[in-house]
Amino acid sequence: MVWTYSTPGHVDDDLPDKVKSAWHVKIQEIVRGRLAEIGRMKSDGGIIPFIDPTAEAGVPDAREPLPVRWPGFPAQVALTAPNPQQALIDAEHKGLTDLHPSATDVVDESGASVDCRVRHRQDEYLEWEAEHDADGRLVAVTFVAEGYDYWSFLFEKDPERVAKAFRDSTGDPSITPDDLEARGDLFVVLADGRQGLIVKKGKYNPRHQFNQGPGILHLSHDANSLGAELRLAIDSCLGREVMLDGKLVLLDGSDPKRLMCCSEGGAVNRSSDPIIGAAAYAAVTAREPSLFTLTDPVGLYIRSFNHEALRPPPGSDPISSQDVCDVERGTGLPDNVGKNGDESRILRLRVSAPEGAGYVLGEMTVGPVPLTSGAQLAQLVDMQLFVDIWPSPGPARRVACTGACCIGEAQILVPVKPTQTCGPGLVDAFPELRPEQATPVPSAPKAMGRGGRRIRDL
Amino acid sequence: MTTILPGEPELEVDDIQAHVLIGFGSTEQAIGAFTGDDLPALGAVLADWAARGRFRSARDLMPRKGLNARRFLAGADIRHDRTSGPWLAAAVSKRLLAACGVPHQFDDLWFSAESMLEVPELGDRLPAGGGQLGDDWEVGNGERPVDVLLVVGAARASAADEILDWFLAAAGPTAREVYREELLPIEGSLEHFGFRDGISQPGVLGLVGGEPFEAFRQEDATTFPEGLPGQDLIWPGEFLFGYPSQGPVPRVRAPIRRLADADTDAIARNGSYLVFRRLLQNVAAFRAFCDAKAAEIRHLHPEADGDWLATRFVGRTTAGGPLVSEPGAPFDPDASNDFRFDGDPMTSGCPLAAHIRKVNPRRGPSDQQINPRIIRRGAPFGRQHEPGEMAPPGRGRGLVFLSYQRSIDQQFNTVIVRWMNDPSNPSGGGHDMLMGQPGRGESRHFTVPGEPDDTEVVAGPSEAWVHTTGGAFLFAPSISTLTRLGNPTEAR
Repeated sequence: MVWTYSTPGHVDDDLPDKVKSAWHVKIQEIVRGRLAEIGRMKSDGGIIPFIDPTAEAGVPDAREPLPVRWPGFPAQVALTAPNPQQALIDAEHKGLTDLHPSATDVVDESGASVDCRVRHRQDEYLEWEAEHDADGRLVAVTFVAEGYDYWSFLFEKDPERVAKAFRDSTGDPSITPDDLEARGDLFVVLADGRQGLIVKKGKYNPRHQFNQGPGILHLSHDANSLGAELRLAIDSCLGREVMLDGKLVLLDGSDPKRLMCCSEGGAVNRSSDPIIGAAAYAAVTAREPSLFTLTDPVGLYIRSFNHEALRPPPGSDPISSQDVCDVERGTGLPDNVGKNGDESRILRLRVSAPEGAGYVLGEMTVGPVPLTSGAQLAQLVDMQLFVDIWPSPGPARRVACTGACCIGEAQILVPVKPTQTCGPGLVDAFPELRPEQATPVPSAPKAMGRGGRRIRDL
Repeated sequence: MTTILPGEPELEVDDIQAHVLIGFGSTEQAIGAFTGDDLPALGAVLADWAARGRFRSARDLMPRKGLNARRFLAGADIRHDRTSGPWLAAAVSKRLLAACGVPHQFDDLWFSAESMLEVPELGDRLPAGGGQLGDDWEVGNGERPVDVLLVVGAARASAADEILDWFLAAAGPTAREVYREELLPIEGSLEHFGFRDGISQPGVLGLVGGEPFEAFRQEDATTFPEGLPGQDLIWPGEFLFGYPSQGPVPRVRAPIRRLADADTDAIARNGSYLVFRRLLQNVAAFRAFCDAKAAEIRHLHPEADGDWLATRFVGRTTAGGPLVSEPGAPFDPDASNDFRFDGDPMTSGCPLAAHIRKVNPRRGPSDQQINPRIIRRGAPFGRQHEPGEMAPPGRGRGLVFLSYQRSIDQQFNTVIVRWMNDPSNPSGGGHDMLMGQPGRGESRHFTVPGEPDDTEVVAGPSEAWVHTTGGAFLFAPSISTLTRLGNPTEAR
């Protein structure tokens, strides 16, 4: 069969065929590029389990779809906040630390500040915005799961289409394509004065502020991209060898964070990336090894919203998921009953009180707790992506760990190279990832820009 | 050489109640709940009894760790020392703490609920004969609130009962006993459905006199600290106030989770939240359901009978052997309980919604990676079911569920409400058919894995075999805090 990558969730079906083809090519290029990179790693020559489905060999028809799930609320926030109440506040903070931990500003070529603050702590491929009425009461929360790189692509092909989408979602009729693109090169500024390019002049600026309110349409955190999902799945498919008691052994996948530290496939402090990586790695460690690819359409999806945790005001009728959930983009039943969630490919979900109920969302409670923020509802959202798996003719390729991790009192895992020592106040999180004979050298903090490029002094 | 992890704290075992850290095991027990118009009077009795050393500390019962509690107690009663019976533990309501004038700004909204009936998420069912939720509760409803819960372990239940009598007498005429039950162990550590219970308790990290509290530790468990084979060792802050808690790397301690109110934080130290639930078990209904459904699916699973299906619901054989083990292999909970679900991304022979996989996903790749743990101290009540029985005993039979945790919301709620009662969590595959409560008027379903296709087993809304008849969210204070309940100024 001929494999074609579709748009996420099969949305925008009315796009011209040449645009759809261009999207297919874009995903294909990411997959092939990354497979080529890992193909160059020193290995035992075994099979790379992630299969490019567009290659001549193709994929068999007999494939088993497997959903890979994770919680939508940011794990890192839950872990680092001093208490659960503060975690709800922290999760909704806007800022720039997704670009770099010490980012202080975004400026244009003239040095003028440009407001590019985003939901910089919502890093589980789920972002949300709350909507309040004139009395300040919570009336709706909108969740999105659509990578900004898809919207950048759409903008590149049809800027007016994207502008119209924002006009519709925000109710602001004045929005034009000019409002959505970078009018000059945009640079992130770090605390030490260094700057790095984040958006080129004339390109779609995924951090524009029309996407930072109730008109939210797509993800904006720097790491919440489809490209990241693809890289993660591919990087996690190789067997990882560690030296234990003088023997090379295959790292088991029982601790997703340890695996992520080893493979460096994604962000180790998230829920999502380690779980996705571990799912891919299961193809390596299963008793019957598998081959796999990301199911078409490649995307990150809202799986379910646990409406059962929502209580209407006393004396009101019980609610169903259909009463409170509107799937505004993508497909699926937004409930958590049965297997329905396994089919969900929801990209935009709006939660509000039942129509005509006589009360607003903010008058409901989550369990016994008054509902005051979108973050409380985010704790009820599960995410998923899909992989297709089928039997492999042989064992997976094995390579060495390319990373390790340190950890300190703050409980944040700090990725380092296996030969680097941990900094002051940090200890080795997983000593077994270190080569036994290596002489550690002090680690230096990384400065990363979009797509993992190193920021340069300008 | 025993590995001690960096930063392992000394456990203040003289101050921590034995029931939290060690438990009363297979002793005969009595449990009683009390309230009254004069709550400070109840607090004063607890304080007086604590001052007299009547509550057993974890240090008192350290010698019984790893031993059969019943046999140990028999020997201890002859020695007549701090290990002798009766063993007594107490937990109190937030209302009582407030009435006694001690700080009570706790951070858990479940503990703040006036009654467990306020929490519909638990999925508890309405009375079979009609009426409001809680009308058929024996304890924990509006008429029978719980302000003090006492658990007593003794060689004989009658001896444990006596302690409850003494407490009531000491509390004076304004005190009221709202509930009492004898908890009698079933031979083989079984619960009423016939399965071995109490397996896979987490171990607790921490030291006593510089030595590990849990005497057995696996030497090669570098990533996941393990005590007995397969027993996760968990940082004590998951169960007790005032200790380091579990972080993303199991062997590295996370900071102590403190309460925002420093005064409450001080009195909470060495204490733990206690969840108490009285669960009625209808054994005949459970077995009839298993038999009937097994017959329905036998054309797909020729080996299916009622016992076969019941073991799928549980994930273990009746003797306790996990389904992932070799069939027929002998099972020793202290030696052969080391199994994970990480060998196979789907089921490892154990259904995704099996009870043991629901409450403890064991790091399988298709399971959630967050694994909140609780310490269970429950015990069965009511006499054992016998084939052909005409009617259950008067007050029924079932399980008094007791769990200790540092956060009711993040631990009990996650395991019981978000996982057991939810068909899609933590890994999908349906409901926990054994103990799950899906809510009123809803069906439950369970996926039995098989080739070429999985099979779905469905229980209708009226097909239920576990029914809640009581419960409360409580706090089990340290012994020093119990002492201060009679003298609130010291408690500050």
